[in-house]
Formats: sequence, C-alpha cells, structure tokens
Amino acid sequence: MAQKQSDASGVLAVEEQPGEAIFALAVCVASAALVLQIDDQTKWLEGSSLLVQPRFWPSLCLAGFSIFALCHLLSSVARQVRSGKYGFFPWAELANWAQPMEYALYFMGYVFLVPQLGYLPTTLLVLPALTLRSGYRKGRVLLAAAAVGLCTVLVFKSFLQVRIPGGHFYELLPDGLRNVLILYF
Amino acid sequence: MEIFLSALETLWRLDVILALLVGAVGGVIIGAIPGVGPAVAIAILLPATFSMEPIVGLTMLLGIYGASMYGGAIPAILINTPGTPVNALTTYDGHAMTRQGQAGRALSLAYSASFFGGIFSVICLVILSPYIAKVAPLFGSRDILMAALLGVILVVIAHRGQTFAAGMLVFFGMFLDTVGMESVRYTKRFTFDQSWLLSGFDLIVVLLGLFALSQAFVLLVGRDRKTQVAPVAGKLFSGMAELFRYKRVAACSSGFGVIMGIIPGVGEFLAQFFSYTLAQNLSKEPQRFGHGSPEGLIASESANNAVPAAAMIPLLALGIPGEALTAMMLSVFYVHSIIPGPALFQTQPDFLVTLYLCLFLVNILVLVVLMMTTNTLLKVINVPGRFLGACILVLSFVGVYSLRNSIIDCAVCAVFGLIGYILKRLKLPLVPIILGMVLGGIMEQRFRASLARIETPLDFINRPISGTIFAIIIIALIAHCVALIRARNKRLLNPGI
Repeated sequence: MAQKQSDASGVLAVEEQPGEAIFALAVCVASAALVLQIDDQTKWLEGSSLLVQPRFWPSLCLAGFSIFALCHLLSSVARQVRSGKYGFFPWAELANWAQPMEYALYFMGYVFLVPQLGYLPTTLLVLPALTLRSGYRKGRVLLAAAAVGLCTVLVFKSFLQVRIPGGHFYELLPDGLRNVLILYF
Repeated sequence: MEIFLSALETLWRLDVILALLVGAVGGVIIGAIPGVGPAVAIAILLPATFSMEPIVGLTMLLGIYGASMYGGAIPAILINTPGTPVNALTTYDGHAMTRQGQAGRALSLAYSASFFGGIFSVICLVILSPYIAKVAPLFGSRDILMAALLGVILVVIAHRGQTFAAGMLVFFGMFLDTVGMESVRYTKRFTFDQSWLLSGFDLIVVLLGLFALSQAFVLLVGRDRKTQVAPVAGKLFSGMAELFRYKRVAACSSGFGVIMGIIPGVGEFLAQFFSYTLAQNLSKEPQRFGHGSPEGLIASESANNAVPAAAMIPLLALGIPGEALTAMMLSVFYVHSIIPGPALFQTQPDFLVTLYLCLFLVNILVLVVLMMTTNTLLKVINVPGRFLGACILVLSFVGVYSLRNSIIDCAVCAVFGLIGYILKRLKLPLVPIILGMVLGGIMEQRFRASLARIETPLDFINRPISGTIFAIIIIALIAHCVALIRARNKRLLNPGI
C-alpha cells in the first residue's frame, strides 16, 4: 500500500482552544480601559506638533493594540460560533487558569522569606516544600530537591556572586559564621 | 591578522573556556529536557551574566542557544516530544526512524545536520562581516526605524492563523515599553501615580515572567510524563558520511536558516518549515517524508541550527534583535555599554572576531559532547515535570531578585508569569510581546531622532535603504494578503479542510 504523503503544514496548524473568546474579550476591555486613560496618563504639550508629543507614541501603540484586540475577539467569536466546540464560558478551563495562583503565592512567599531567613535556609525550605506539594513523597526526591537547592545557592551566590542580600536571621549568628553566610549563602 | 591573534588570546582565557563548556554542555542538557528550552535558561542566567565580561556572558548564552537545538533533537527522535519548540519537525522523520529501529542512525544524522547548519551559518557570518561592516554605517535613524518596523510586521505575519493575536501582543509589548518616565520631555506615561512604575517595565522582569515563571507554572500544574527510553545502539559517527549523500538538502536548508535568521521577526520555526517543504518538493521520494525520511530530518535540523549565528547579524549590525533570544542578549550589550549597531564593526572588531570563533568552537564542542554522552544524556529526559517546575520557580527568583533586590519586580514577574501561563494554555505566542517591547523602544527612539529631518511623511522613505525596506514591507504585506485570500478560497472550495 502506498504511503500517505505528509507535509509540514501540521506544525503551523492553529487549533481552537477553550476560553479563547473570553480571553479576547478581557483583552479588549483592558485595551479600551487604557485608551480611556490616555488623557489622564499622558501629557499634551501646547505649541508642539503632533509627532513630538509625549502622548503620540503610547497612543499609536494603544490604537494598534485595541484594533488588533478587537479583530482577535471577532475572529475568536466567529470561529467558536462556526465550530460550536466550546461554550463561551468553559468553566473548567477558566478554573485551570486560576490554578497557578497557588504557585505564584509560593513564589511570593519565597521572595518575602529570603530577606528574613537568608537565601540558603529559605531555598532549602521552599524547594522541598514545593516538591512535597507537587505530590512527591519519596525521601529520594525530597533529598534531590534539597541538593538542587544547595547547588543553586552555591552556583549563583557563592560562585557567581549575584546580588542577594543576607537574611536578618544571619544577624543572630556568631561573627565569623555570620560573615561567611552573608557573603556566600 | 592582528585582530585574529588578539581574538585567539581572548579565547585562551580560563573564563572564556569555562563559558564555552558551560554553554555547550548546559545547552545540550537544557535542550534534551522537554519543557525547559533555551528561552527559560537564558532568561534565568541573564542577570548572572551582567557581572561577567561581555564576551564571557555572550559566549555562554550563545552556547546555550545553539547547543539546546542539538539537544532538543534527542527527545524529538526518541520519545516523539521536541526538546525545544523548534525541534517540532524533527519528530516527523526522526521518531519514525526510531520506530523502525533506527534510533542511532536518526540521532547521528540529526547531530551531523545540526553541525553542518551551525558551521555553515558561522561561515556565512564571517564571509558577510566585511560587507556588513561596509553597509551597516550607511544605516541612519530612518533606515533603522524602517528595519525595526519590518521586524514588527514580519513577526505579526509570520504567525500564520494567529495574525490578529500576534498583532495584539506585539502592540501590547510596544505599549509596555512606553510606560514610565519618557526620556525626552520627562513626562510620565501610564504611571498611575505609582512611583515603582516611573522606571517602566524592566525587560528582564517581563522576560522571566513570560518565559521562565510561566513554564514553571505549566509544569507544576501539569502531569509527569512516563517514558521509557532504551539506550541508543549503533555508531553515532556514521551520520557525517550519510549527510554527505544529502549535501544539497543540507546546504539549501542551512541557507534557508541563515536567510530566516537574518530577517528580523522570522526565526527558526519558519526556517525549518520552509526548508522541510522545499526538501520535500525537491526530493525523489517525497512520499517518505513524515515516515522516516533522512532528507526530512536533515532539512529540519540543519535549518534550525543555522539560525542562531545568523540571528546575530541584524543584532550586531543594526542593534535590531530578530527574535526573543537575541532580544535577551541585547541587554548583555547594554549593561556593558557596548552599543550593537553600525559603529561596532569599526570600534570593536576584535570583540566580533572572538564572538565568531566562540560560535565556531561551540558547534565543535557540542558535537563531541553529544557523540560521547548521548546514552548518559537519556537520563535527563526522564526528570519529572513537576519537580522540574519547582526547580525553575526557585531559579526564576535568582534571575529577578538579583537585578535590584526588589520585591515589586518579583510581584510584576509573577503577574507576567500568570499572563504567560494563560497565553501558553491558549497556544498564543509569547515572542511578539518581547519583540514589541524591544523593537518598540528602538522605533520610538529612532522616530524621534529622525524628526529633525522630516517635513512630510514621505521623507521617512526617501533614502535608498529606508525606501528599499519600505518596499519590502509592502511586498510582504501584499504576499500575506494574497496567501490569506488563497487560503480562504481553498477553504470555500473544500469546506472539509
């Protein structure tokens, strides 16, 4: 039997996704809100021509943003109506969009803890905690998480000397140890 | 000759050698792990490179960029999952060959084709350099403005089927760049009386959010893959000889990669698409494409590996990045007060020659690493996704917090992470936002610089270069419209497609 010839067009194919139209609508509303703010949020200098106005470039960007957002909304709605595959409010998908909020909070928690506890202790705390939260229970994986955390601190803070300040917790430690921790961990 | 010797001397430095090694080995590993990709790695490492010398930082980042594409072929061929998005077409023939029990042959061919593409584009870069050095200084503000506009338009029309979304996102990126205190009249723009918005949105913070943190969220929310990868048998050195039999395909595809790399806003994805289509049209066995054709594999791999070096051409010559990764590298130049653009070829030729040599060496080093360690590398394919997500989240913190120890930067990064996550769920492109931010800034700056010589709008295009670029823009737009009309007519005639 002759083989069916396949071409590369598959990689460029764009499939309809649930929530496309609602996202397009949200972007449209956001762009309209920004357009309404142009007067307040940019300056018009009397006596200067249009092209040199500080308002000119943001207006141009927002005009393009709004027009394309509107076109995207119309094409998304048309595609959705044509296919009838997904509802306008695919609740399961919208709930999925909210899922990473928890991890964003983890991230912010990490950010707030580093200046308090220090980079090394916080990383050794947060990475295994995240690993545990992700559903891994084996001691081997938790140990690997702690090892990755330690390596991250060693590579970035100790070796590459990136600018991450020492934690307030380090102040409670004896002088020699405190200096080493502030400088390298 | 003196410049060449000085470049060799720089290359012999321990920090440069280390950067080469880290870039080559790290890039291969990053490419081989599905779900990471060079954009995530470069975004995370970017702030760390600011304390290094520009040649060291750029060597490492370029090494990761180029090597990841080699590494990305491994999971594409063995488990039908591209390691990086640009290895998508490699799965077509590479995995088909694995199913036919030819995994070793497929990997060997992919490495050889990637090596050919990589070296071909470095040679093109070296050959084109003297011409670039002559032409680049002729570019004035209006010409650079038009070149950046061409990049914006191409990035929009290159996203077939997502033109409106790409347009929307590119303008969103351009708008983001306008936020803050503008530098000519010192007026506030969209700061909403918030002091933290006065300095605008930092490109690296946005990059880390959109590429790294969003990927961490995708992995953390998703499920782990369960794959079994058998060790690869067979000689991995045999591919070079086989590649020689398909030298025409390799040369044409690499050529396409170079051209697509030079054109701002296009990148690897279209390079491999066009190369693959061309190779199929020219092949004596087009029916084998998608079913284990060596020509198909060579076309996709040589094309995407030819892009990284070529993408440096518009960046170095005009200061215009063609895609997201070179846009990230632009900040390395700026941090060290090296302004890429026409003057760079005259003021720092030794820096450029060192960069070319580094690119050349990275390709050799990566090939050697792959030939020797492929079976060891297979272990990284199986790193669990959610574990990887947790690691990326922690690494993203280093990238963003080390910039200026700002908690607000981290919060902004988290917001862009969430935006990036939704865009990824909707399969919308992220690259237009970054290119919009970078090219928008360049365009505004050049637009203002041009105004002194502008009396009518036609003055923007009355120079030979700006006029030619404008003509290319018009041709590109017409070609896009014609393609859209044809596709629509085809759909109307065959409603089933």
